[in-house]
Amino acid sequence: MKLEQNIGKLDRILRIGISSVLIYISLIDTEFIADPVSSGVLAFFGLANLFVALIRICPLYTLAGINTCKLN
Amino acid sequence: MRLSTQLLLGIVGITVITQSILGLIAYWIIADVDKTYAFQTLRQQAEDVAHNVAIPLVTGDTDSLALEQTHRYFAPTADLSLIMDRNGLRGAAGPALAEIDQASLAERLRKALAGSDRSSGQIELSAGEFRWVATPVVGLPLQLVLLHHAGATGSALTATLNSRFFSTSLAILWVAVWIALLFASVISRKLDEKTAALRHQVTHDTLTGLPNRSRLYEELSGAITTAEPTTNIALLVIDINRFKQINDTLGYDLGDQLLLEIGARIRQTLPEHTFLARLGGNEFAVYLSDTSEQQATACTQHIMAAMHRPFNVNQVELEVSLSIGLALFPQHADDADTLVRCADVAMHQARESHTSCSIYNGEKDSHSVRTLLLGAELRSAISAGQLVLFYQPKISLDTGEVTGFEALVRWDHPTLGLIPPDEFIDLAEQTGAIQDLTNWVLEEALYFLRKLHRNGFPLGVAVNISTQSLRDFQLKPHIMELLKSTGIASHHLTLEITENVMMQDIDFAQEVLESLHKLGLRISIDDFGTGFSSLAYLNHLPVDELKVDRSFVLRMMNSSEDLAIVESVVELAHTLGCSVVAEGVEEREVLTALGHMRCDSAQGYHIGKPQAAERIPSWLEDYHARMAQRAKPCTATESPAT
Repeated sequence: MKLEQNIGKLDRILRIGISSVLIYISLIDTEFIADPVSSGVLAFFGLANLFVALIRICPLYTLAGINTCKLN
Repeated sequence: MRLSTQLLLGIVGITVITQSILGLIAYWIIADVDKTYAFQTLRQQAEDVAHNVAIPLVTGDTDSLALEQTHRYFAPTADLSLIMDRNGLRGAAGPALAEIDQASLAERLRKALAGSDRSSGQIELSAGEFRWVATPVVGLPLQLVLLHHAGATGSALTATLNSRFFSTSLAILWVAVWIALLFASVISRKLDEKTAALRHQVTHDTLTGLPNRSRLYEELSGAITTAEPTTNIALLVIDINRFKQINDTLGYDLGDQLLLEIGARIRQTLPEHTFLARLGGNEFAVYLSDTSEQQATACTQHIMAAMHRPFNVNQVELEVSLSIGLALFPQHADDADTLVRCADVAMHQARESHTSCSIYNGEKDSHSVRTLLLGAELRSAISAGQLVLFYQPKISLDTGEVTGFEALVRWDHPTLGLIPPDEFIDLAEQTGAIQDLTNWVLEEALYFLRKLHRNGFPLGVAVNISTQSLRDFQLKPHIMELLKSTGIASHHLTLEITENVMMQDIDFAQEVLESLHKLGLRISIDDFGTGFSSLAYLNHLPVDELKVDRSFVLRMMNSSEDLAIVESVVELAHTLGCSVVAEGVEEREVLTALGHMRCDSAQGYHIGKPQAAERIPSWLEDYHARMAQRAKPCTATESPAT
C-alpha cells in the first residue's frame, strides 16, 4: 500500500520548528536539561517529528483520515 | 466549526487543563521536598560544626576564630554560623558576615529559641530570606546557629525532578493530541455516516428506496433557482388507479410488492439519471430537467405503454392503469410548491376525466382550489351551522293543494356566500362527510315538518339520499329514531334517490329500498329519464314516485320529443302504480299541459322557489289565501300558481 502524503505546508513548518527546538534543548544545549532521561524523551519526540515532517507522511493522520495538504 | 475540529479542541483543552493542575501539584510537592531536603542538609552541617567547634573553643581560640575554621571546613555551602550563649552573641563566621547585622540577628534568634521548642525556621533579614538551624555545642552551654539563604538555587534532585516533569508533560500532551486526533476523526466519521444514513431515511421512501416528497421539493427548488430563462422543467405526478381496491382486496403486502414493481417499471422507461420519487401512497413523481412539452408527453406515453403488460405479483396477475398529471416550469408555475401542486391538480383532472394523461389547465384549476378548500371546511361547516335547508313546494295537479316540500341543502359560507349542493355533495362523498350531512338534513327536515304539522299543515317532505348514504347501515336506525323522536308518520317522509345511483347496483338498491319501504317511507326516483333504467327492474323496486327530470319539462312546450317523453313517463308511472312529479315547472302553460296529461304533482319556480324554513308558514298561508280566492272562478286543476 502506497502511503499518500498528508502533511501540508503550514503543518510541515510548524513541525520542523517544534522539532528543532526540542532537538536543540535535548541534544545540542546539554546544560539546559541536566537529566539524561528527560533529554532522551525530548530528543525522541523531536527526531520522530522531524522525520515525519521531512517525509510529509504522518501515520496517525493516515489512520484518522486527516490530510492537511488540502488546507493550504 | 466542524465536529471533528470541536472534538479535537475539546480533548486537547481537557488535556492542557489537567496537565496544568497536575503541574501545580507537582511543583508544590517538589518545592516541599526541596525545602525538607535543604533543612536536612543544613541540620547535618550545623551538627558537624557544633561537634567540631567545641575543641578549638576549649583550647582557647577566640570564639569567632574557632568558628570560622570549623564553618569553612564542615559547612562550606552555608552562609553564616553564630555561637550564642544565654546573654547573646559570642562569635560569628561565614561569607555573609559583612552583609548581616549579627547583634540584632542574634537577639531575634535568641527570642525565637527561648519562646518555643523549635530548633529551625526561616527568618527575614535585610539581605533576604534565610533558613536557620540551631543545635547545642557538645559539652558547652552554647548554641550554634547555622544560616543559609532560602532563595538559593535548588538541589540537583529538584532540577532533575523539574526537567523530568517537563519532558513527561510534553510527552503526555503529545500523546493526548494524537489520541484526540484519532478520536475526533473516528467519532466524526461515525457521526457523519449516521447523519448520512438518517438523511437518507428522511429523504427517501422506506418501501421503494426512491426519493420522497421532501427530497423532490429540494431537487425541484434547486433546479428552479439555478434554471436559465430558457430552461424547461417538467414534473409528472403519477397515480395508480384503483390502488386502494387492490390493497383492500389483496392485502397490503401484495400492494407493497406491486408498488415496488411499478416503481421499477417506471424507472426502466426513464432515461438514466432522471429523478423518480415516490410521493407517498400510490403516487409517484418524475422530474425531467431541461425538457420540452413534447418530450415530457412522450415520456408519459412510455410510462403508460410500460403498464400495458400485466404485473405478476405472488402469482396474481394484475392490470394497472395510471393517471398522469403534467406541469411545466415556467409555463405553469415558477416555484417548486406550485409546480407540484399543478402537476397534482393535472393528475386529478386526468383521473376525473378518465383520460390517462392530462397537462395542467389553469382554468379548471381555480375550481379545483375552491373545491379543495370547501372539502376541508365541509365537516366543520356542518357543526358550525353553516348549512341551511331550503324547501321547495310540490303541489297536486289534481287539487292544487300543496302536498309537500323537497328539502334542498345550501351552504351559507361566511366568505363565499350561498353555495349550491352540486358543488359540495361530491366532496362530501369523497371526504366521508356525507353521512353527517345526510343525518343533519334528515333531522332538520323532520323537525321542520313537525313544526308545520303543529301549525296545522299535515304535509310531507322529500330528502335526497346519495349512494353512499344508502350504503350506510346506520341510515335506517337513524331514520327510525328521528321519526320516533319527532312523532312524524313515516309516509310523510320521501327519500329521493337519483336514477343513476339506483341503477349502479340494482340488487343492493332493491334490498335497501325494500327495507326502508317496509318502514312506510315513500321512495322516489329523482331525475327520471336521464339515466339508463331497466324497466324490468323498475317493476320490482318498491318505488312510489317518479320525478320527471327538469330538462324534459323545461323543453316540453317547444320540443315534441320532450313532450312525448314526459307523456310516456307519466303513462309508465301510472302503469307501474307510481305517482309522477314534474320538476322544473317555470311557466303556467307547462302546468296546464301537465294537468291535461294527468301528471300527479308539479314542482318548480312557477309554483314556488326554494325558501328558508321560516318563510314557509307565511308562504303556505299566502298560497291558501290565493287558492281560496280563486276557488270559485277556477277549475279544479288550476292552482293559485297559475
